[in-house]
Amino acid sequence: MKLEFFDVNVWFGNLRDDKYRISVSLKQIEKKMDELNIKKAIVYHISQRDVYPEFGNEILIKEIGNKEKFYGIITLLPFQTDEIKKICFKELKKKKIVGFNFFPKRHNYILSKTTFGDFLFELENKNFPVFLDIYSCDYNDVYSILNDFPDLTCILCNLGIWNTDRFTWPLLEKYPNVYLESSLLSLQEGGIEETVKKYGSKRIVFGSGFPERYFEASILQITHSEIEKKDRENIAYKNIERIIGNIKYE
Amino acid sequence: MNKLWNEFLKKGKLENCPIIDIHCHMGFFYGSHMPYSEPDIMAKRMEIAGVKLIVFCHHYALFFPEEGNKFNIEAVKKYPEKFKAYCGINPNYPEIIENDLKTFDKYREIYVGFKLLSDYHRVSLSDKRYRKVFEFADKNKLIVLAHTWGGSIYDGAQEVEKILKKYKNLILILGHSIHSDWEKSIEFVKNYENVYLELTAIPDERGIIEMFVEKTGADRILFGTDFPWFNHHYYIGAVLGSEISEKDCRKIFYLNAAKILKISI
Repeated sequence: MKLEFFDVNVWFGNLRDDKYRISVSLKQIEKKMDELNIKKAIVYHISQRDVYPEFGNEILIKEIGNKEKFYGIITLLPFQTDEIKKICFKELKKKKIVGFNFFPKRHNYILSKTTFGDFLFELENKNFPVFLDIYSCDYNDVYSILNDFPDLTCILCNLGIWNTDRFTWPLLEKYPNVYLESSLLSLQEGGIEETVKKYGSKRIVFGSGFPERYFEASILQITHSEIEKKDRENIAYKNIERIIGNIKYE
Repeated sequence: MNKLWNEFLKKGKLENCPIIDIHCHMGFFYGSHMPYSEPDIMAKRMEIAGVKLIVFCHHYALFFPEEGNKFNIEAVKKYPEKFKAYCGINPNYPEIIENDLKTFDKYREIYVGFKLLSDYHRVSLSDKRYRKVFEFADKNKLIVLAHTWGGSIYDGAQEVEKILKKYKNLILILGHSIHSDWEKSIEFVKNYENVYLELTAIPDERGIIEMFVEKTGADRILFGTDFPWFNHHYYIGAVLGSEISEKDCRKIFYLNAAKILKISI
């Protein structure tokens, strides 16, 4: 039977400089997902990153509202500047929000306990995932945050182009709720197989990086990786379903 | 989506669509964990994606001048059907180059040409220390795979053009296609008949393959992955995902490489 997927790393909307014509609408993504047996996806709108987080968050919530296949992640800024509305977790459930992301380099702040302390503590207790994009923060930030919040549910996305085992394996070893998004792990020869061998398949969640990268690249690699069927299914969709299921919205 | 996608997805590899990977390495590397980088495991991993042949240069041949090309020769001798090598050139060691050129003919079953890594050796392609290599390659119509990167003073577009203007008989493969300086790499394909684009470090960025095919056609694009850095299925999936025609995919996957390597598939 064809493997089904739940993609945790997709954005939509129009880039301000779309040199290679990669921008896509949610409708276009949905069509592509149907072709490739991607049943669900966690998405954000590119304006959350490139225009203004709160503006983009509103677009995201509106766009995914009536679309069954999609969940969203909201982008945060330091609360001290009052640019982000107060977070009401009960409301987030209704809006299908399953995580938060951060772009500290681009949005000019320090991702740290000083900046987000109490809130990250709350996320830790609620098993609410944070999506840390290595293109937008760096491994020093990740190490620092996890040192302060060791039980935080943390999905590391866009791990890096060169093999990242030397960065990520110490984190998998020490912190039980750290997960690796698979798109660039799939790019690395042996990345999936060796990580599964060492830390098990429950620590990897499927992601494509679409539209900056190809759905097909990640799908073909996972489908034919040298791991067992149950491990492939864990990565493809089961792990992220479990992570979302564990969120305490109340 | 062309029909190759469904077949690759189902089977993982296709008898009637083999893969030739023109840009590979071998062996361990200081900057990166590479669990599948020794000859035996590489040969085994090639089977999974139907990779028929790789052309590689061992990391040690490029970074460990004491032993030079020994590791390339040993690996090809062990897997002559699956591996061919580039003779690794480190221009900082002219005496080794001298010896490699002198003995090149002895290893014609091993080598298809030369691999240059100017950014890492910090010597420009047009530097006189490379001259004998280019002259030898030009005289013998050999392949030269040069690492090329946009903006580099060693192997950026300016340096590449100096070589293309001077040497018309060798085949110059632009490793990474002068990464990010796509307009120049496209221009070179249009202006010079002996230059090829190569895909390593490109398929993780959607839109470039499509642009290459649209602007140059697919006849001079070669499939390369830096294997064992990057994964074959990931790259194959990206080429198929680019929604170019089946015919163009086949050119990229093996037909163009077979032509320059002068092998029948």
